[in-house]
Amino acid sequence: MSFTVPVAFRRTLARELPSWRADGLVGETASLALTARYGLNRLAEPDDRWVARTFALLGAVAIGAGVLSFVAAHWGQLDALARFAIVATTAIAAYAAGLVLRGRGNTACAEAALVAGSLAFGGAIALGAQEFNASLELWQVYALWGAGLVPLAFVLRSVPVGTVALAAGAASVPLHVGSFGHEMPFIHFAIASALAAVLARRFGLLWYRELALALAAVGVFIVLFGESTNAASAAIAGVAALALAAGAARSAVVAVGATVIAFLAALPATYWFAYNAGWQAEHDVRLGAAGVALLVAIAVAVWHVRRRDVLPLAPPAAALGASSCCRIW
Amino acid sequence: MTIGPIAGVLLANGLVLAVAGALVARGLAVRDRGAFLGGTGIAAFAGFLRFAEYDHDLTRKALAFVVVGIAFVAAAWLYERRPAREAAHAA
Repeated sequence: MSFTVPVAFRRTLARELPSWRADGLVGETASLALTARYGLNRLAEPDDRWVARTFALLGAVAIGAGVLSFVAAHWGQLDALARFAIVATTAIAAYAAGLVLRGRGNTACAEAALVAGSLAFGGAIALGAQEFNASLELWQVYALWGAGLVPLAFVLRSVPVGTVALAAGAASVPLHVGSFGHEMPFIHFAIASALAAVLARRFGLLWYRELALALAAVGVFIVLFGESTNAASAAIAGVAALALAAGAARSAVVAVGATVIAFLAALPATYWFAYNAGWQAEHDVRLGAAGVALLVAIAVAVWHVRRRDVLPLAPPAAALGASSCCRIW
Repeated sequence: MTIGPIAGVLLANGLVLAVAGALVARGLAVRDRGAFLGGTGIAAFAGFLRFAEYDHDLTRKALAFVVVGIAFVAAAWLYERRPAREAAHAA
């Protein structure tokens, strides 16, 4: 039996229920009914289905990326019919496999297949636009992809498919901002937020809101990473400062965002190493990003040490330490 | 101490992947979903960056992705069968 309420709620209820009974707030009948309704007597049972689901989803994404890369490598040698056949067959077969596996109760692999189908759906949109010479910009492809998956995620009640929709929608907004000749697309952002809210309400999962924030942070990162200007470094600093200020207020939601941003601020250091020898320009950008990464790492360090959780400190520290060794700055 | 740029690349990537592996291992050991997802997320993101960064043959990259993906799906399949085996042993 699965429960739509968060585990944290069930644990809190299990902890509070005895005192409610002792204080006379609920009777024995109500207490037993609550215990049965939320499975409070089964909280001690280990629930590690998420491990298999995560592995299966990662595998599906990796295989999908591999197929897409293989097709891209031989794209010029394929005619239009072969291209459509590959993409459409992949999508249909993946969806069919997902529905069959779900019917058999193999949840992890079923969700993985549905995600593979959702990725192929995005490929089909891009391919259709290319073959029919539709003048779609990249952000429009992502927006159509995300919006098209929302009904499917809603009907199937599939959190992974909803997550793909959310990721595509989250990517479309910063791509729209970054496209030439566009102002800040508030209407686009409002539609994407409304669809995300619809999915969050349908799934009834509190962590979905945190995931939406993390994906938005990734979207911001993608835009900033493509901009080699001091403004990009300043924007990273601003976002990181805001997130950390909110994280210092002990908000669990923004704490996740702060951690994600800390990693994103540190990872470019590993990327830039490869261009250490040949990249002499944009020295100020590297200085700015290094300063931001250092500040973020220190702030996250203080924050985590106060919580006695030191493991997340390692990646920013490792990247900064290695950077110092190379004397890149 | 000064080291070369290639050694710096290997060192930085190795440290990031080591932390990702440690997070995954801790997540599996104590059933900590946050640590597990954090570790897999870091590894996946680092892999994506390397894919975008290095100028290798695309067919070779595709093959690597497919092999890694099959390994993950096989791990999921084995992990999903594990409770059934354990229940059978317990019975």
